[in-house]
Amino acid sequence: MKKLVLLTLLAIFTTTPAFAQEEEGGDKLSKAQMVDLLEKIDERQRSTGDYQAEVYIDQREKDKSELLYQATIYRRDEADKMVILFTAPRAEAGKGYLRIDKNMFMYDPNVGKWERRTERERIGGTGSQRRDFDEWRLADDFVPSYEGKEKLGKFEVHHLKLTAKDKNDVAYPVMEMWIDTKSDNVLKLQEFALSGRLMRTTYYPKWRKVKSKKKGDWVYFPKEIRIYDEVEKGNRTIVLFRDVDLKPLPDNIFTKAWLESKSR
Amino acid sequence: MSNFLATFRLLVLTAARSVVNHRMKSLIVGFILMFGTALLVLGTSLLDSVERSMEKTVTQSLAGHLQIYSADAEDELALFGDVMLGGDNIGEIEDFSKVREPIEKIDNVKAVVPMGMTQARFVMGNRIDEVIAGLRDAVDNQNWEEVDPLADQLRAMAEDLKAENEARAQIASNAETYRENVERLSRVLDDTFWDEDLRENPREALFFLDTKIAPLSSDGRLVFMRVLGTDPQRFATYFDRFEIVKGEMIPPGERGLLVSNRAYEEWLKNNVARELDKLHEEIHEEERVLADDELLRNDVKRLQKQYRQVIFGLQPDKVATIKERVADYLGSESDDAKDLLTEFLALTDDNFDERYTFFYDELAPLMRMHEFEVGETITLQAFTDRGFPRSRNTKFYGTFQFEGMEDSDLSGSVNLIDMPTFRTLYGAMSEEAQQEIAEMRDEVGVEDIRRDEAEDALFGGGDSLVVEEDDEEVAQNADEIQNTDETQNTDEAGIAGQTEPTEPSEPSEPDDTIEIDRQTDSTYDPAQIDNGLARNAAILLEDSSKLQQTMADVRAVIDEHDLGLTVVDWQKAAGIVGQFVIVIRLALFVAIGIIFLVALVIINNSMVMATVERTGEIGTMRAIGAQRWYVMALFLLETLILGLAAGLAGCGLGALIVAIAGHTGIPATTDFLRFLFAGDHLYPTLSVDNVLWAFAAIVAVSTISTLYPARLATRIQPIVAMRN
Repeated sequence: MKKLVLLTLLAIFTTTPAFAQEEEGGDKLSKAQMVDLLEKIDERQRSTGDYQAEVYIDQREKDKSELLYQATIYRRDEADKMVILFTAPRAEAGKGYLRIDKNMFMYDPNVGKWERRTERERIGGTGSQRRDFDEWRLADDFVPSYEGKEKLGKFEVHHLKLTAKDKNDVAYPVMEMWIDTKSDNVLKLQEFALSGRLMRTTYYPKWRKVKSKKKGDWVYFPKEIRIYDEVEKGNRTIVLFRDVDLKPLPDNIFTKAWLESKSR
Repeated sequence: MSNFLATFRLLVLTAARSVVNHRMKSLIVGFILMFGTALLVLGTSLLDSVERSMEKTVTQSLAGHLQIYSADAEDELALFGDVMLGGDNIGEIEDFSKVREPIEKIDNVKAVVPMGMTQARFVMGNRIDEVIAGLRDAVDNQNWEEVDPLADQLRAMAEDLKAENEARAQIASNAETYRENVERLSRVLDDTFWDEDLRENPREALFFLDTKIAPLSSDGRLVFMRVLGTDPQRFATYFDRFEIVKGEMIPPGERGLLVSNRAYEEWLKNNVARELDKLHEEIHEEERVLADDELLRNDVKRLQKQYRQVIFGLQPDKVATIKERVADYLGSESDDAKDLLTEFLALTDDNFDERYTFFYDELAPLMRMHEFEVGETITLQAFTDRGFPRSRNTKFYGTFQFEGMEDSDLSGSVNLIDMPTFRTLYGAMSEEAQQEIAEMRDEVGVEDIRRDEAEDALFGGGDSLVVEEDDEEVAQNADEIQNTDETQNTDEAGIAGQTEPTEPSEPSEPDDTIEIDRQTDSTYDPAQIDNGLARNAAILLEDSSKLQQTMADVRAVIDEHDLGLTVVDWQKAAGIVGQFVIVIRLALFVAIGIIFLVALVIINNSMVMATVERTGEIGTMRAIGAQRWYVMALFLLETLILGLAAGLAGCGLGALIVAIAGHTGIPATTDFLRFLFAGDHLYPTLSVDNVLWAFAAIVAVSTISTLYPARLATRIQPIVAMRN
């Protein structure tokens, strides 16, 4: 009986704004606060206009020869379009990915063919995936739950667990995220397979923000990402973002024809 | 001397008389001995024959007599697969030319052929993707004449897909999804889409086809096959069972692919044609009757459901011709492809032969019978050990088989490509490419941090690692983005750096075409075959009987030149199938051992009984002067006579069975047996060794089993006999 009363009280308090207000100063974030936080993270990365960046993807592996790519990322988030065009080394230059909505295509100029790829595609055979270069949609795709307030190095962080609303839309159905309590920057991310197996751990040690006139606000983006493969232990990927540019891009960039034309 | 001969004659006569007198015992023991001998002769003959035929399969199709591969390999070489499927980390031979020269100088080495095996995908995107790609090219080139037939083809496919989605919408739990698909397909079936949308806004229309229509078709097939990179000319020369079936040999210096004929007909043929071929085989070769065979009738029902495979993706005029011909044949008024083809494929014993012939004569020439035909260039794709796909366009020159192993899936499981194409697919990196990456890495200058040190290094060693540093890259785009904030704003931005607002400018085209190292040559310098990476190599010998000696010589050369290689014989290189004969031989010896053990116990027991029974007789012999050795010899001789007679009969029986089997052949009922038998039948042969070993074994067993009872007999005293 006591238990029932307690549960009822808990149910009432957790749904009242007054309780949520009180919680704000406390250790735990309410569901609404977590969703707000995810929306804030998403919103900060939303560029509204176009986005272009030079990236280096550096793959280090235990026993294999290493990989390094230079690529240009083009994004038009409003239209859900993205292009990754490899520009170096020479053997890989001209290859690229084109994402339109939920379709992801890969182009190889050596064979002049397009192929459909999946969300889990390892970009260029490295540990990075499409999501690492794209706009985040955490609030849309995931339901958060609170795991606790923790310390990550010298930073105090919120530890959230995110479960996918539709597991078909995302590369991994469960993620855990560590968010700096002061800046709301994501510092660490772990992705889990449906079986519960940890697949990747990603660190975001450097963030950067650029003012966008079109958005009328700052656009945030990670400057450096370090991805550690938790399945193939010892494999790690470093992604560096450089020359971020928010100037409008021509429409034809987000077409198969444009990517093909780059290597003609 | 004459005394000894007389004694010996007496002994033999007495022993023979005793064998005859104890008929029942002699028959039982003799039968066991005969059975054991026959089994030994038959078993060893069969195994030797299997081993010889398998040696042919393995050495003449893929492995050669010896194989070499890296001594640093994590897995053992298994050319025909291993127990731990897929374990193929056999390392690399970095420069094959350094290996070939010294090994080919060894006496008895005929040739060293470079090899490299990888799992490759034959990229055959779904047909709708292919047609859309053609349409896109035509639209880009403003070639509207080409657009129309492609549009017709797409409409026909869309109609098929619409019917399929409408049917699914009736029964599926997620009917809404299928209804949405039907709506999308309806747009493509509408004239407005082709006459207005595609012409006015081709980009949007092509996007729609690419992203909303193409994914609805699931006909794209993934065919994974093993490909063996090699020197095609040397392979064809030294593996002498190799023969071209369709098309031609890859010319020297040309990049190309040869597909195993078995795989081509089994995996790459049109489904309907293949199913018809199977039915033809069942009815004519296995003599099965449709009317009496429910399983076969189920195959026919399944075949009817695949009717779409006859017409899907074909140009509308060909579809119309097919419908017309089938309607004429059936005398039907219908114009519906489903009705016509389903009726045509309703096969019975009475109409099968006629319709089979009609299919091949009238319909097949209009259809696409294989995923790709001889002379076409196809895309081969393999995943490197890093999981990144590497693709290469390669001309398909033809199909091949190994003579006598035409029907074996195992020996037909490998397809051939030239070595340079293999290296591309395998992801081999040239020195220049490695140098380029090293230079890029120096330029980027990023610090590598190990997993276990990451959190401390990134977030614990002071804020500097997370505080945004002065960033000149963004500032360089000064015309668009200005005023980089060099300080950390923990209140507002935390660890993010800041840059002031930017003014949007007019869209501008990014830099022009980038410099790429396009690998599209269809030829290569033949010297490249030897100069570069291989994963393993086959060594073919002049005289295979000197295999062990040559293997030792190869090992010596490897050590002398410090080549860092392992050498194995064909049996080990073949992997699990190579070990099969050893396992079977072991099992045979265990079985024969058990039979002989049983024989030993039975002979021993019956002789002990005989000894007890014959106490009086032996006592009397002893009383009238027979020495102990005489009694011992008598007993041994009795069993020896029995053993000789049974052994001879057993050898005869075994030899007779082998001779019959050698004449009629033992049929290979499974693919694995076809591989072991190097063909459809095994024709075992008898060697003198098989007979001599079996005979010697049976004589030895019978003699050993008599030692104890004979010893017992020698201990019988004459007084005991008299007392009885």
